[in-house]
Amino acid sequence: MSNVAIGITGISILLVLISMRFPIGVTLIAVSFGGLFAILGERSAWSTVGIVTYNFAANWQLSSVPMFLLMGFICFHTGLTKGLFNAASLWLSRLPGGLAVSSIFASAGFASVTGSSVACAAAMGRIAVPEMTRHKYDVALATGTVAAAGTIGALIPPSILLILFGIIAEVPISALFLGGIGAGLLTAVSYVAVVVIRVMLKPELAPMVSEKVTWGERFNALKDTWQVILIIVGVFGGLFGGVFTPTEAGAVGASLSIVAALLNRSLTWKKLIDAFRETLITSSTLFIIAIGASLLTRFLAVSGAGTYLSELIGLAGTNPYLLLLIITLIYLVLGMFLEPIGAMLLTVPILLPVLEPAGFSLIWFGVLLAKFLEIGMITPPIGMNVFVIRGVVGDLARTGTIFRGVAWFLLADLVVVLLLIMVPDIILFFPSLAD
Amino acid sequence: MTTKVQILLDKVLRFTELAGFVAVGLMVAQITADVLSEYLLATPLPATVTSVSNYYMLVVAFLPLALAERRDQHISVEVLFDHLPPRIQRVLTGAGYVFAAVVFAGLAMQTWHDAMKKAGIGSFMMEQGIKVPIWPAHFLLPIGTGLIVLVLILKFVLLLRGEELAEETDV
Repeated sequence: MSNVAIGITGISILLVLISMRFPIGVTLIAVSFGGLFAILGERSAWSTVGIVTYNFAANWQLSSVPMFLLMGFICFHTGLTKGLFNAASLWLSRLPGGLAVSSIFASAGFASVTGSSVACAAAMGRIAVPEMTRHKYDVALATGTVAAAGTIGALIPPSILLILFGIIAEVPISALFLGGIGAGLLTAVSYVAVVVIRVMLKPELAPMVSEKVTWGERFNALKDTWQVILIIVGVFGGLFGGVFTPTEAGAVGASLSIVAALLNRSLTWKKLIDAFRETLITSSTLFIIAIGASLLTRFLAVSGAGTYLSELIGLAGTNPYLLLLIITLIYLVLGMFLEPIGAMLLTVPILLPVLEPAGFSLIWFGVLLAKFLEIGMITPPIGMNVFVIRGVVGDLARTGTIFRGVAWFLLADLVVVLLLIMVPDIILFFPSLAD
Repeated sequence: MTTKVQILLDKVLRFTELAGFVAVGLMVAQITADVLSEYLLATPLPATVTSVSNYYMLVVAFLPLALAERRDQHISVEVLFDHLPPRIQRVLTGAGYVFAAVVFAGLAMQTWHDAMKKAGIGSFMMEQGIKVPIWPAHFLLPIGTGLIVLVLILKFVLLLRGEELAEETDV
């Protein structure tokens, strides 16, 4: 069997085992080991596995993952979202669908302290959905909005997806974070447009909030957003100003979020322990997959299967748009079924050898990939954000109702993806400022 | 017998969780202190990068693996699985435990071998002129991967008997 054949066989076995619900990380490690064994022999295979496992984890850059996770979990458990949503709703309640629009703005704000879209959706779902139903908003609109707006969490920095992409693809994390800002803001604006247009066409979806709000109250409400502003300035000022490395930014952010919660008297031992516990479990379950992905990258490189696949895709034509269309379709389908970080770690080693010769900017592609995977968070049958909102709102909405509410935002997402592909500067503008 | 094993294992896992808390806490505290010290006093703390990457990160990456398995938190794809008949689901679940146990056991063996070698030569890293020994950290890998093998074996035995893991006792 030729090396390329071993590589392709390896990928096929991988897919079969994973679809049998074997854990993704272990399966990646086993298949890569088997492949290296077949190509390089027993000794090299064993030593590669040992060395990669140690070196991947013992990595300064990767330590930004637990740090940003901890910051997000602390902000989540200490209810930082409440102030954001209150402020946004006082400012925006006069717009058509004002509370839904507010939940989108508040999600974008919360996105800057959390790297995960599930956390973002769950946090906003708890606060914003009861408020919207109290004002007789359509349930599908209310729940669909927070499920979709959660996806902004993994686009606006920090983003765990972008950190892991940066490490695997060897792209600077701060550049990816800057790129995420454009895509995140565009997503937020497009979601706001969806809400406003839908409510203008069908006002009974979201009755106008009649409470009178004074300007004094509006400015007063901004005070309750100070923690988020403190964290944004402290973390991203330092990171994008070139003062901090991503790891330092994450640790400072985690410290700031603890200090802010203490000053706010919202931190209890239980919340702190929960945040630490989730940080540990999430980090270690992600790392074992990332270690496997790193081994798969080696195996595919050694076997030449990566180059083979890239030539195969190259046969489809030299047109980069055609290549992107293929990639878009692959991710839309994968996103329907797979958990996003797993899907990314599984596919990036295979795609990298295809992307680099095609001349794509990896910063641009990393952010676009995050956008694809986040769309997967709200598409049926497996839409994690939808499930999370279903869990948060209880019997108020069935899963199908939430998916129905989300459908309109998927239309906006298609427009956003098209714009990101046609106008790469939406992503690349902020990173270019930093150069 | 299995209940006793389970209680003992839970105690060990509790300890790994505690070690994880300490590692995450130290990571936050030490990096923040390092940043402050560097910008206020223009002197970074000694050996921050080495201790974070070679100690805390290894604790965070490998010790909670067993705990995550205990709580069924490892990431897998369930789309196809959910549509299979219960009998096949049981067979696949068991096969998955054995498969994962074999892989982690292999990993534990290899990383143990590496750790013994590093201990033999007393491997260290230099950071700002300070010698930081890193060989003890290598043992975190066989410990973490070894523990998850034990959890997987326990889960497999319970599956064969048609039993389930008991609730964790919260302390």
